[in-house]
Amino acid sequence: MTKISFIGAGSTVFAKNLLGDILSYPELRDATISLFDVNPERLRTSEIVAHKIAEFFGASPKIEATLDRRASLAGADFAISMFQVGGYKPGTVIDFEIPKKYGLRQTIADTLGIGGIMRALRTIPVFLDIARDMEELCPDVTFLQYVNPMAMNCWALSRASSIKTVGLCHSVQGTAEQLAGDIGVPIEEINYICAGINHMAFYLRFERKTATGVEDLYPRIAAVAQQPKAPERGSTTRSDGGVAGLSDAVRYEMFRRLGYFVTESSEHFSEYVPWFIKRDRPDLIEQFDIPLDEYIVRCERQIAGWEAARAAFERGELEITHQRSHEYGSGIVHSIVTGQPRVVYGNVANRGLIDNLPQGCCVEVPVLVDKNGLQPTKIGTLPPHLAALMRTNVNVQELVVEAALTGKREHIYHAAMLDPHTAAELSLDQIWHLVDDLIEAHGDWLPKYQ
Amino acid sequence: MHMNGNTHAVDDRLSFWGIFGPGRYTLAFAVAAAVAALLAGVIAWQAQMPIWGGTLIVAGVLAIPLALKWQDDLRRYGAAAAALSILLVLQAFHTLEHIVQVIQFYALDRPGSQSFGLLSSLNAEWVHFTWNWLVFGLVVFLYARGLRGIWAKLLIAWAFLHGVEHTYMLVRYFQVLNELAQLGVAPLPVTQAQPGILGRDGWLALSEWCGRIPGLTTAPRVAIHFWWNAGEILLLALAAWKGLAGLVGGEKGIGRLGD
Repeated sequence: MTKISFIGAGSTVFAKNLLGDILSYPELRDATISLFDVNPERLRTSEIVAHKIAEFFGASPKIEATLDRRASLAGADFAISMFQVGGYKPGTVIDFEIPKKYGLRQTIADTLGIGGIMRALRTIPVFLDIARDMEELCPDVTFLQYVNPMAMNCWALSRASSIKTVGLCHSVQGTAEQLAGDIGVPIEEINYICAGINHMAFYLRFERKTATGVEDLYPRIAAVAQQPKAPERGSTTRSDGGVAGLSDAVRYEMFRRLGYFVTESSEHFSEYVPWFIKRDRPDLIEQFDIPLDEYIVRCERQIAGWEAARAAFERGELEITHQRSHEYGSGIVHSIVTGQPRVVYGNVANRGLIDNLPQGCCVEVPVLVDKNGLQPTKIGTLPPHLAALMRTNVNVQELVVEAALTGKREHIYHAAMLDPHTAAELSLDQIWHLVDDLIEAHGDWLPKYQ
Repeated sequence: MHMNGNTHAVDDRLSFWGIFGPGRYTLAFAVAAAVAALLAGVIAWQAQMPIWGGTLIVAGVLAIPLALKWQDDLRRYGAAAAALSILLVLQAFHTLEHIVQVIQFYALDRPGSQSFGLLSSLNAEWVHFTWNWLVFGLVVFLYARGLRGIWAKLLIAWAFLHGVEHTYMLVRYFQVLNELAQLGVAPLPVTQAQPGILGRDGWLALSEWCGRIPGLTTAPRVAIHFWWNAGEILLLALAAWKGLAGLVGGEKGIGRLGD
């Protein structure tokens, strides 16, 4: 019987969605679901929700909830990570507020930038502990890794562990759906090839089959890019308490400059490059409609919503339903268990997959999944300007991973110096002081760096 | 050593070292090796040639005395003995390739995809599939021509299983290409080398009935194929050493000494 360990199952909403996706497959309805979290309250809520979702599907999985990570991992066939080290407070707040004192503003801070760097330094040591447990307790496990910063976490894991790991994100399939909406073509008709690094992968082909051949859909995207106002996605809370749509102006601007469309949203992408967020250029923030501190807004909204939802879950007042999401996790489990082939986009070590990115770095490529497991496909050479842009991010990732694996503090300074957004805003002295302040503020959340 | 009645040259008596060693071509091999090293070194240095370029230069220069030696073997000892000589040398080179890969993978800490050995990454599945079944065919041919003994039998079994392993890998390779095409992702240039029956992520490791067997279900591809080839060259050498007399002088032997 298949055993699936949810590491960080206290992320109730995400765990509920993923569990619902898994149980939506009849072949997986008798699986053992082991929920693990360090927070007993959140774990209890997730357990209640897990039983409800099983009930919804008429499934009879064996559901376990434990505060013992090793017990959850023992004998697991699959493990899925979904935690955040340091949480909103103090982690995220430190990542945003201390840089702000230096005039360094961020939007999401979970992938790159000084916030992404600190988040990785908090998270990688936990992953290394988990990997050591896995090597002992479930050495053949397939590890589905959802935690950001994706590229740095997966790179560290691939360097330090033999565990089969794939980093999963919804940006590739999510953006494809958004683009399909922008150009008015049903997503079911579209084929694409996408590759790069997580949150900075580009659609190398975006096309659909027609009666007469294959239609390149990029001219349609170019037509959308010519419109005066970029499309909007989702919503955010404005400073006055109102709600506004999130503009996609940054990505369409990058498309106009690069000729390829990138996978991660505009609010994310604006902080991976040096051109959009600048202290003395408020006009750019306005022109591209960049939501500074967006992640703080989201966290506070989620926390407020969570308290209400948890109370309702525990009182049994919320009816649980489920519609399969576009997350890849459940499909991977299903393909490996049943042999039904699928292609997902996964983050794996670059072992001959992309020629013009450093070997060993974490790349996002098509991955064939079937009875034989995860089989990444080779992309070859990316257009040179795309690879060059990615390497500016890979530089930072490499140094952060080096710092996390060697414990050398100097690599943290160097990573921050090379971060495109940080370097565009601060002097060398400011960057070094900022790093010192951040390390001090983290206290025991970070290991001791020499 | 048994000899056929039509033989006349005592100096031409076949021995293991006679056929595997350079013999009368020692000087030619020494000169060729020096020239090859010099050429490969200078050209590789000047043209910043990758390792496969240097390997091809060395192989190209050494091919001249090798061809002379094999021609001589054919003339003096017959087709079967010459085939054995060729097989021993080529399989030794093939094993050397795997030894270099293992050094690159374990000692130099290169990823598997960058542990190229001495030659470039050709389509590994096709090349290995073809080579290993060719080896199996030659070994069966040699057995039929008198290369007998326990080592020869073990060699046949080993070469057959090695061929099966590569057949499975080729089938998996096609399966991947086919699935990618059906899922609308093809054509991508090449897929990564697939695991075989043995090793990490191999058929045995994925089967539900087989438990975890250190090495057999856990070793990476580079290690698995090092052992396949190390075993093959060892058995080939033992079979040749012990069974050479039968190859030339046995009742079914076609080998002949001298003209």
